Amino acid sequence: MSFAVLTGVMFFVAFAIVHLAVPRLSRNLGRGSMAVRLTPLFLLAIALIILAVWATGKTVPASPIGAAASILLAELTFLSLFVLYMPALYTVTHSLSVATLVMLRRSPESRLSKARLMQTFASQEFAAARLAAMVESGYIAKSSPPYRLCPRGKVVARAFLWLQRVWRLGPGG
Amino acid sequence: MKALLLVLAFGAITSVILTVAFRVLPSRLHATALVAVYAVSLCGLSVAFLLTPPDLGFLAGEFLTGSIFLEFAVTWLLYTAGYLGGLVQLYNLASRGLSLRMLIDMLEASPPPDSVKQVADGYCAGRGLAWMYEKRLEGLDHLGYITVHGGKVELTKNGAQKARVFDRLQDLLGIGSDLPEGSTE
Repeated sequence: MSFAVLTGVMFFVAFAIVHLAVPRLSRNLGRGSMAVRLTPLFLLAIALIILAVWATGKTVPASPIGAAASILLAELTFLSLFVLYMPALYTVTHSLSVATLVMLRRSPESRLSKARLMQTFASQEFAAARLAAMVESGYIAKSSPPYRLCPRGKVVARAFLWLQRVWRLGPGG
Repeated sequence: MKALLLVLAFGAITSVILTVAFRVLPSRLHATALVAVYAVSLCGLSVAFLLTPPDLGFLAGEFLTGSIFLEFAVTWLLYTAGYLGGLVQLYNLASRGLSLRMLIDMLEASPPPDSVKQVADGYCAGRGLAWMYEKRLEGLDHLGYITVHGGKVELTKNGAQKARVFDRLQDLLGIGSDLPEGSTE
């Protein structure tokens, strides 16, 4: 079983290296879509590696149930590290608060007018860019008005609307 | 497998406790509740792990790791991932998610927004994007990362330290930034 945990950790390290390095080399590849494409491949690779080792009769428990448990443990280890990694990365790359701090740091005397910040982070151009990103992700039907949700966008919006009501979070945003 | 079963049980209990806490407590105490529930539940999970047998009285030999330390580490990892990567992220998205709020606005809008201006002005049930960004600035000000005086926003010493870390991380990731006019960088 320790082999299963180690496999999960090593595959996650490999995933993180690929996920961090490739978009740096090619700007056409977004990290979000890359993660969606890469994760199933890595999960499949983990299962294949453990099955291959199981076939040799070493390290992995001999019974089929033991092999299945090892695959489950390795994949859960990988997914656990994945769900901790992605939000941390997303904070660095997408958080408005982080972007504000970095923009201030890169400005002369670490100071900017509020109007300039508003123009960058609360303008119609900003909204248009977000809408375009959501069209690309398949949440909104098209990039020109009137803006309508795709089925995927409706499912996500309804699910979180329900969660906001259950947790009494107010409108959010 | 013991790790997974314990984590699922504690995850279910924690979800119920958090739901009650969010419904009862004012929103300014939600972050404190998230931290407190995590700390207490992790202690409870650790105690439950140490007090229960490795096979929980019914698990077959194939489901045992054979190492109490490994099983304990996996228990912590699974629970931390489920809590911080699951529950806390759901909370963050539901309470602050910007794109998500745009989707909810579109779901509730009748007729659907006919221009980018309508989307920006109608953001968060008509509060507008400016309201959203004011809220972000207030949050940064409250944390002591920035000061806002006379229409100028300035980094504090503490904020500059945080900004330096994020700036370096963004450089490492090869992320460009929207530099203001006149910037020397």
